[in-house]
Amino acid sequence: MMYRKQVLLFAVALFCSLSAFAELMPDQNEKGKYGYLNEDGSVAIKYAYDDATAFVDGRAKVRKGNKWGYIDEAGLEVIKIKYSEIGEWKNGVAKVAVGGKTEDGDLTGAKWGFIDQNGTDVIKPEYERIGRFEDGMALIEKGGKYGYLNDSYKIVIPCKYFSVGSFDDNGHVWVNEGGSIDKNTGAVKDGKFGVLDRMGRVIVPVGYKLIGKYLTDKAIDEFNLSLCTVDRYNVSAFEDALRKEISVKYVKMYSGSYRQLYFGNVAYYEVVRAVSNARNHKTYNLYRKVMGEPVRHTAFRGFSELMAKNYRFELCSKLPESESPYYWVSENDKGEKAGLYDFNGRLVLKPNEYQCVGKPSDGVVIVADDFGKKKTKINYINLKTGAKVFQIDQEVNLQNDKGNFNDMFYDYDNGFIELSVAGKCYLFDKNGQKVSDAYDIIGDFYDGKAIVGKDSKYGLIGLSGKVDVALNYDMLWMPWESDVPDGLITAKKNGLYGYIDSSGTEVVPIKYRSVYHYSKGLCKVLDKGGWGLLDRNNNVVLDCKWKDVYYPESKDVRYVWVMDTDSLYYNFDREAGKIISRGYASVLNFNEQGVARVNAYDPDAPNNLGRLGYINLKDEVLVPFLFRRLKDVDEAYEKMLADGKERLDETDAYRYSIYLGTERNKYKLTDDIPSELWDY
Amino acid sequence: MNRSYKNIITTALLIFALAQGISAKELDSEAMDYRRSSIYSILVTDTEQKFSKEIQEEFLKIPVPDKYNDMNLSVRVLGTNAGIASANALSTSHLLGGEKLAMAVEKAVGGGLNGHILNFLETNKVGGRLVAKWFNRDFRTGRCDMERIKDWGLYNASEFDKELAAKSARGMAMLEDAGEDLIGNTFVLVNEINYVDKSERSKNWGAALSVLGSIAEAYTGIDYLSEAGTLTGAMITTIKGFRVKIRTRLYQLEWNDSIAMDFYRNYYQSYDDEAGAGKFDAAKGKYTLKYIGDVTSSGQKSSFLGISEERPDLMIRKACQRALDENVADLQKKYEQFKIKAPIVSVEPAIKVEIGLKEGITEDSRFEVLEAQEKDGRVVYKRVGTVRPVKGKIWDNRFMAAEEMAYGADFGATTFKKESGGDFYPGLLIRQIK
Repeated sequence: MMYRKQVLLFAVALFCSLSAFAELMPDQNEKGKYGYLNEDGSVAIKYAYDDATAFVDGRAKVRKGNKWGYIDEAGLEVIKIKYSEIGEWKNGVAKVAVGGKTEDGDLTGAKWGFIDQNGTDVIKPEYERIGRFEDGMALIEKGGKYGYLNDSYKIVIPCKYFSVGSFDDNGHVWVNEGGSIDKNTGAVKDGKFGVLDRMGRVIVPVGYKLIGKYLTDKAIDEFNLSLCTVDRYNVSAFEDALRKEISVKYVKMYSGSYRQLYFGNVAYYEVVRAVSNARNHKTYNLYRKVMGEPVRHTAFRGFSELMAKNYRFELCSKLPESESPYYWVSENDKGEKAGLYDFNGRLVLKPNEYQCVGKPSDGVVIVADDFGKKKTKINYINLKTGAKVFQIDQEVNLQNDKGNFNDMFYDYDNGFIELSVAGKCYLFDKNGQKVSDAYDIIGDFYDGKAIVGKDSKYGLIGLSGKVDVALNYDMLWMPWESDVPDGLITAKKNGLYGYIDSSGTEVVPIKYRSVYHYSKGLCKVLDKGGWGLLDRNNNVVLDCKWKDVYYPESKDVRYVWVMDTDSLYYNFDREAGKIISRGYASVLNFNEQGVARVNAYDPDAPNNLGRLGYINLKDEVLVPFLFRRLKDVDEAYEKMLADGKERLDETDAYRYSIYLGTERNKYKLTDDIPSELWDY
Repeated sequence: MNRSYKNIITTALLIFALAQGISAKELDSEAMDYRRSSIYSILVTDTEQKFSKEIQEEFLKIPVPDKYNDMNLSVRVLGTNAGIASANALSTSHLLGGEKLAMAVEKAVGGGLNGHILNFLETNKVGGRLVAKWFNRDFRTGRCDMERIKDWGLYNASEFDKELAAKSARGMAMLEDAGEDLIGNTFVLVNEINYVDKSERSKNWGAALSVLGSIAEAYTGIDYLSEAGTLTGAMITTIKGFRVKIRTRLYQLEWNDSIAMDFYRNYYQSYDDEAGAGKFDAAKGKYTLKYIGDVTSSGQKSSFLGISEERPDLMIRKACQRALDENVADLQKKYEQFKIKAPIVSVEPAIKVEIGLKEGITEDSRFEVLEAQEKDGRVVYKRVGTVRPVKGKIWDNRFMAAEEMAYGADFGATTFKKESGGDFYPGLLIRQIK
């Protein structure tokens, strides 16, 4: 008896719990109205709605007329049916619209806000627009002015700006007050600009006509700057070439040489005006001439005209990546007499004090007055103290382009700067104090040491300015990877080469005919037998018997590409001590999966560079040599992997190359499409 | 234990199990094997129209319609020249007003497009290329194989090879069967997609193109590089209400016993032979496609409920996919040879089949239940009953129905009730008759 009762109770309990699983289903009657039915088909909620959706978590969205709201399973309004739109729920909050007019699914003229699950306003619906959240921030518009809301539903930037940008990686956004839109370009012009952060804090107060950043090379690349000279400064024939539009590659090429250690005795500055290809933008570049070649010393630009392009859209413009964590500001349209703010919003240099302001580096910035004149005044400002570094300005004749000047100006680095005075180089600290003896050349610091030269002999000085390695060498070169410590310095003595460390110890004897810069833990050296590799401790990694050696990824790799007398690269197995592949015209190192991209040898092609393909360590062809472009062969390889194949035959590879391109979909209905674009 | 106790426990457990959604015998139709027709789907579009680029991008993401094999070739998009621009582009702007005028114009001009399409299919030897794909033909060596046929025809691979090698009557029958049921059921869908321009009615479209033109960039975070043309300080844009009208034309590959025999005798080679390859290339033009008919979508707008504002690409995709699916369903109803068969996935506690609103099912639809029987190498379908959908239990399997929180989106299958016939079991196929 007991058992029976227990079992019955169990069954009943099950039935009861199961009924909770039963869902009300929306149903439409003959009059087109919606209500909800129980599972057995009986009416649970009357047919009172013009639209109804399924219940989710005990509530359903319903519409009466053109207003939406939510009801519960008892049919009671849990969110009043008064909204023109209710968006998705995220963490218990939904975007809503009130008022406005809907035509064809397009709601206009409504006011937007947010409500919680109880229908209580989280943000009162009084905004003409609330954009999508991007990195936790959403653009808002009220009364034709813009601001920002964060994803905690706090209005961090009130709607008082004529225009705003998008937040960049530093969490900064530009804002504009009192501006207008250029009808031709869509850019914001006039008014005053400022910079705020994600909390609404002021980084740069709104009050400047131009605000700029110091761009990285990558940012310049992306904006495709071009350069032309300004002929009000006398320029040499070489610089005449700069009058033509030169792409940023030119700038990069010379920026690279900034880190080279060949310094001339002569340097002078000229200002060139850079004009953006696309947007008539102005950038001032301060150029320094080194060994007769112009090197970009510093660059700054105003972004406001450019950046406002998409100001009204979620895809608003962001401030570009910068090299130096400062904003320059100017009260005039040309960006002259700039001031500086750091990224924390501290004014570190007041505007209107100097005609030209360079790029800050290591907390110091170069400034200039009477620019372009016979006596251009140059000095440095220590941004921490606000004081000039040198008591007396350096005077430079910027009118004369023949360059009999004997001053050099660099950026501060590691707290020091190399400057030349009366034809000699010295190390100065940030207080303008000389800390070294006079040299003909002082190079950049690496690992606390800098190369110095005097009377054609070179050695090393430390950060104290004192000589650490005597000037006994014919030449010295820093390691290739200047950001990797503990490298070796290439040294030349009596016509032969070797390597020393930063203490001056000759780690690799100076006995080689030629060497490459130390890189990836390896020294590539040329002995009478040919090229080979040594490690940092002078151990042989590869014997010196090759026409060339392709730098492997590290000293521990087993396989190294070597060039034989036929000028082709072969895969050399260091363990087996022999070549294990065919010869290729050009190669890349094998990756972790033991796969490498190579160019086949083609005697009829320029530089014998045949088509591209992929091979493995067994010299088997994985992707056939059908591809001319790097992008295509790489994509074919990726697609092969994605399709789970280990290799492609020629037909597969050919088909891949068709699918990789978009050419096949560019024809018209009346065309006879070339056979090579069909996969069958 | 007393029998009555056992019954109660069994009943309770069974009810519990049912509530958990576990049925006694349920199969996954994806994993089920049954023969399908094949589709090659092409987009024909006016490249000058608004959103042309976006429509192309989204079209290429739409998979081959459900329950068909993918026979797509590399060329999927064709532009229309100004001279033969479809009347749809003209007609849509009149949709709100002169509907009848639009239809008349469409008939006059749009009909001409069929001629161009047939011309395209012939000039580019599409029929021959589809045949080549059936036999996995390597265009360099001419080598063919039967792998695709064996796979899609659900043949026992080794048995197939054996019979073929022996040139037995059974082997020949299998080939004929494959020809009729598979190769002969290869279709080309030519979809003419036109964007329904609202520009007369809304002032907010000016910059829409530029916003969407930067869809790609927006999601890589390089938005300030978007190549949006000259923005004129245009206002906020929206693509809610984005609509397309699609006209889909259906073509079928012509394949009969004599075409098949000619192919096997003269062009099928199971080894490399470049000379032989050249022979087929020259003869590709003899394989033709015939026009079956066409349908046009209703141009109904899709709700963008459930699509985040961050995804305008999904709005376009949804509008296109819904319209395409609608056309495929209409073509299935209109043309017998294009109908699909779908397997029954479970019969307890109810008959369930994984088809739904996407296939155009309504409460009034009726289906025959078919049993595939193999006889002497051929597969025949025998009707063993009829079923109809249960009211209120039709699965909404249209694209993004779940996001829209549409009723029935979470059913997973449509429930049917038997009208006639014996005991059904999972694996039987159903095909719409009304």
